Amino acid sequence: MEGRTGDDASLVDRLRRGDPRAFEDLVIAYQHRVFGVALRMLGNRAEAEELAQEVFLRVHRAVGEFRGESKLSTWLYAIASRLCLNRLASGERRIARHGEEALTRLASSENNPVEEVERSELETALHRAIGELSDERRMVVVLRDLEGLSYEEIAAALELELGTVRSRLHRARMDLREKLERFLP
Amino acid sequence: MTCHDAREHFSALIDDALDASERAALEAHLATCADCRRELQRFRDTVSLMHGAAPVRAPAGFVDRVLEAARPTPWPRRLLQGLFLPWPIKLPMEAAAIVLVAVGVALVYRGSPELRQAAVQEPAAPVANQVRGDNPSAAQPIDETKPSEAPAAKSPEGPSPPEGAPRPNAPAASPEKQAARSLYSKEDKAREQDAFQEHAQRKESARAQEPGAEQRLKDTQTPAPSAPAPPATGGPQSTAAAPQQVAPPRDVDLQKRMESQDRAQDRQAPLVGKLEAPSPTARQRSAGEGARSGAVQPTEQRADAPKAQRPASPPQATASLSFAPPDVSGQLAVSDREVTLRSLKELVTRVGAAEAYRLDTADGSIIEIAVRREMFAELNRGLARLGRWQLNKEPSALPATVRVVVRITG
Repeated sequence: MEGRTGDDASLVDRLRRGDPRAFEDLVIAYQHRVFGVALRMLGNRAEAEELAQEVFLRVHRAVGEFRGESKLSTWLYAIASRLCLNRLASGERRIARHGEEALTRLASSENNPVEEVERSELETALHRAIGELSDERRMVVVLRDLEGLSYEEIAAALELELGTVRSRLHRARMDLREKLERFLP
Repeated sequence: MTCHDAREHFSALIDDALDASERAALEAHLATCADCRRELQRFRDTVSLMHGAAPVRAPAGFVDRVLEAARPTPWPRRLLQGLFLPWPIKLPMEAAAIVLVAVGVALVYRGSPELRQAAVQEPAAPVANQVRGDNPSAAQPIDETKPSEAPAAKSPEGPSPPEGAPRPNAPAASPEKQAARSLYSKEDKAREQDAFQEHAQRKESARAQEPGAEQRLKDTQTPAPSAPAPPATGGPQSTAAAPQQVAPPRDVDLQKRMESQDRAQDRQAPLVGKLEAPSPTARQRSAGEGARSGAVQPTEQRADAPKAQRPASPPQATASLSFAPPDVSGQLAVSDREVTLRSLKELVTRVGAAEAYRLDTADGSIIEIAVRREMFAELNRGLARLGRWQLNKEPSALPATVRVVVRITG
């Protein structure tokens, strides 16, 4: 388990002291990561924003209980992943997930039009492939390959054994390799 | 190491998560297996695609919205949220509402005797009138509704068996009777009027016949409450008159009063006749009418009839007032009945009395008033001021609550 970074440690201290700017800094620092996990897990921007907001509100309420044994980012990912998996497990939203094409808008608009179309196609295929994974495998691969967490951080966030993280990640990547065959060189 | 085993380690190899021995074994296999090398490359390319995915950015304004949502809410809103929002079931509010309503109703009900009285009085008022001259057992339901008042209300000098004990000659109150009492309404009164006309004729014919024949007529009609013209069974029970006929004593008593009234008060004949001629459906109510007819002949009634109930206080005992004969009765001859009625109302209010019953006809009004003994003299003086007030009878000892029946004529 990695220790806290200096920035995180100071942010946590400020949060505990009730510094009114600390929470804003936390949201600014982690908004894209938390929102990214939510969007890639849920596939719907509105739902992802709602869930990301809920993640930060929980952090705001429970920052006093954060003991600092893990990184602040790991704690945030843990809350986000748990909320995502809980929401995915609820029956009613499984219906809304299908046919959701919000992920096609993930591509950056800074590229030239041709690149953008090609990239958009790849992004669409990529995220559709991710979306077709099971919730557990998708969560691991998102945290690892899209968010860059280490095996240990994933294990801590999802409360899994390291071996389980490794196994799920391998299965997820094997699935993706099959699905993205035509985009491989 | 087989190809399958080797490919199981690809993911960990890419992430540099293999220990030294695993890594050595895998590299040894890859050195000899071209398929696995090619497969490993495709695996790396796949992961590279993932790593190259465009970063996701939170929507604009997200931070502000989060900060806004995290702002502490005022405590009233938090309270409401606590009560309504986080509960999957709205149990707290619903339960609280039910309890609150229940407690409120109980408090209001307990705190206001008028309300309690109204609950008893509305159905009981007509019943009370019915029961008085009818089967004593019919008084039982009323007594049950006012259990605390019933024993206290009984007259100490009452010679009759306890209230509710069926008399040998009296037919028991049928369930239909009980039910019919609660249906007392204006329509019933109208039917009573009709029945009275019919009965008046019947009475004339019965009077022409021998007493036995008249009694047979009654006997045949008594058990048939749905018959169009039942016998006159109203009026208080009269033990003194019982030996004269086989019929229930109260019938004899009533008959006597009917005849005497017919003789003495021809002007009021329709009223009296009405009182004594119940319709079949309202036969029970004829008892109450009989009670009012007792106002006309209080002496006879008081001597014979038991005092079923005597109220402890006027406002709370109106329902049971009509069970007993009046303590005092008299006639008030006035020039303007409307004015007198208004004045009487004020008088009743002034002396703290309660109007228990009132019957207005073209010929006069009969008003039953319950007044406390200490205020009776005041009421008496007031009545004398209203017109020519003539007492039919005033007992030597007045009860705590005096029931006065005033017949207003003029």
